Amino acid sequence: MRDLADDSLKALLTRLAREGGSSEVAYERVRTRLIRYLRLHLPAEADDLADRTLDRMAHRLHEGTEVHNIYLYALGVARMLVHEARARFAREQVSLEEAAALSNPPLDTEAAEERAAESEAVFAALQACMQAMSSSGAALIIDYYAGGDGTARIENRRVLADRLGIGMNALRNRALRLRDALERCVQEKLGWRDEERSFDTSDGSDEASGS
Amino acid sequence: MNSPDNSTLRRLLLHQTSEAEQRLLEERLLSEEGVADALRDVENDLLDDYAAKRLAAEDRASVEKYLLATVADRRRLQIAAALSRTPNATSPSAPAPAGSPNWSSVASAPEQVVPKPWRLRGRARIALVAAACAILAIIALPKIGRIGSGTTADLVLLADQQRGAAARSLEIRAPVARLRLQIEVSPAADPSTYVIDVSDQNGHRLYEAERLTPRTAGGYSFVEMSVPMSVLNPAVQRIIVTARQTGSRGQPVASVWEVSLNRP
Repeated sequence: MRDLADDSLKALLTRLAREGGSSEVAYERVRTRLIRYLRLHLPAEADDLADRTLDRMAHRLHEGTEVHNIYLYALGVARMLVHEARARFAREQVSLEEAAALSNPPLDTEAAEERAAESEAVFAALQACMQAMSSSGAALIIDYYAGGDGTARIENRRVLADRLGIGMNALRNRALRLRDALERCVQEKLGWRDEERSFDTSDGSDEASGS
Repeated sequence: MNSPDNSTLRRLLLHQTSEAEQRLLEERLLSEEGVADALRDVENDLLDDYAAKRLAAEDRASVEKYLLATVADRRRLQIAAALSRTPNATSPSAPAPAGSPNWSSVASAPEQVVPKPWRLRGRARIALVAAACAILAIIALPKIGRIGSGTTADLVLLADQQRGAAARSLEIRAPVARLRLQIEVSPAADPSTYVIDVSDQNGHRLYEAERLTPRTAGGYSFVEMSVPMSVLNPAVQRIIVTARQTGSRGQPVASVWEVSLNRP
C-alpha cells in the first residue's frame, strides 16, 4: 500500500473497513478495479491514475465527504481524472505509434535477428518457469489456454472444469493466478521487472470466489 | 449477479460498445465481485488470439490501439506468443494423472566425454539472458495440440545440461511418431559439421546422422535431426554429438547427453 498522508489514509481505510473484511484487502481490491477501468481509457497511465484516484478519495474523505458507495465513488473520481489527463496529454497518438511499430517490425536483418533472439529468450524463460511450477499448475495453464478460440475455447474450459470438479469461475481464477505468476517469473528471468513497474493486478478479493 | 459474458467484455476491451453500455459495464467492473477478474481473463484471451493471428483485421487494430499501448503490454504479448508455442501436453479428454511430473532427474551416470568449456556468444543482451535460462535443459514438446500418429516431439538439449552428471527422464504423454533432437553446439571458429550418434547403454548404435550443418538463431548454434520413435530404447539412450572440423588435425570434440524416455 502506498504512503498517503496519515490522516487521509486513515480516513480512506476507515471507510473501506465498512465494506467488510480487512481494509487493506479492500484497498487493493479498489485499486485493482480502478486499474482495470483506467486501462480501458489511458492504459499507459493506469497505475499512476489509480494511485492518484485513491489519493483524491482519501483527501475528500478526510475533509468529511460522505460516501454511500465507495466503489462508484472511486469510479466517479477516476472518470474525472481521466478527463483531466486527456486534456493534458495526447497519449493516444503515442500509443498508436508504438502499436504501429509493434505490428510493423523493422525489416533490417539485424533487428529481425534481435527480435527472433528475444522471442527465443522469452520462450526459454517461459518453459523454464513452467518447469519450476507444480506439474498440475503447468498442466492447468496449458489446458486452460489451449483449445482454440470462441466456442471451442469455452467448451474446452467447461470440460476442464468438469474434469477438475470445480466451477468455471474457480477455474478461471486458478488460471489467472497461475498465469500472473508465470508472467512474473518470465519477467524476472528476463530482467523486465527491474525496468518497469509491477504489473501484478490480480484481484485478491475474487480469488476464492466460486472455489 | 453473474459477471457480464465474455463476448460483452471482449467488446468492452475492443471499444465496440455504445457509450451507455460502456458506462454500465464500468460501474459493474468497479462494484461487482469477479468482473475485474473476468475482464482480465478476456484480455488474456485477446492477447492469445492476437499472438496466434486469430483476430480479424479490425479487432487486431483495436488490440494494438487499446491493449498494446505500453511496454508492459507488449511484453505480455511476447509471453502470450511464447505460450502459444507451448503445445498442450494433455487435453481434457485425456487427463494426465494429477501430480505426475513432466520429467525429472533419474539416476546419475558418469559422463565419458567432456567437451572443452566454451561460452555462449550472443550479440544481443537478451540472448545472454536466454543462456541464463539454461535450466531449461531438456524439453519434450509434442508439436501440435491434437496428437496424431504423425506428430513429432521436440527434445532440446542445451550445452550446459550435458555437463551435469544426471541422466534425464523424459515423459511423453501422447503417442508421437518421431523425436526431433535440437542440440546446442559450440559456435566453432572453423567450419564444422557434426555427427549425432544415438546408442543404448551398452553402446549399441540405434541411429546416426552425419554431416549435419549447424544453424544459428538468436546467438545459439544448434544441429537438428529427427529420429523415429520406433528405434529408440525405452530405457536410457546416449546421445553423442561430435564436431568434425574442416582441416583440423586434432581429436574430434564430443558431447554426451543421456536421456530416459517414458512413453505412453
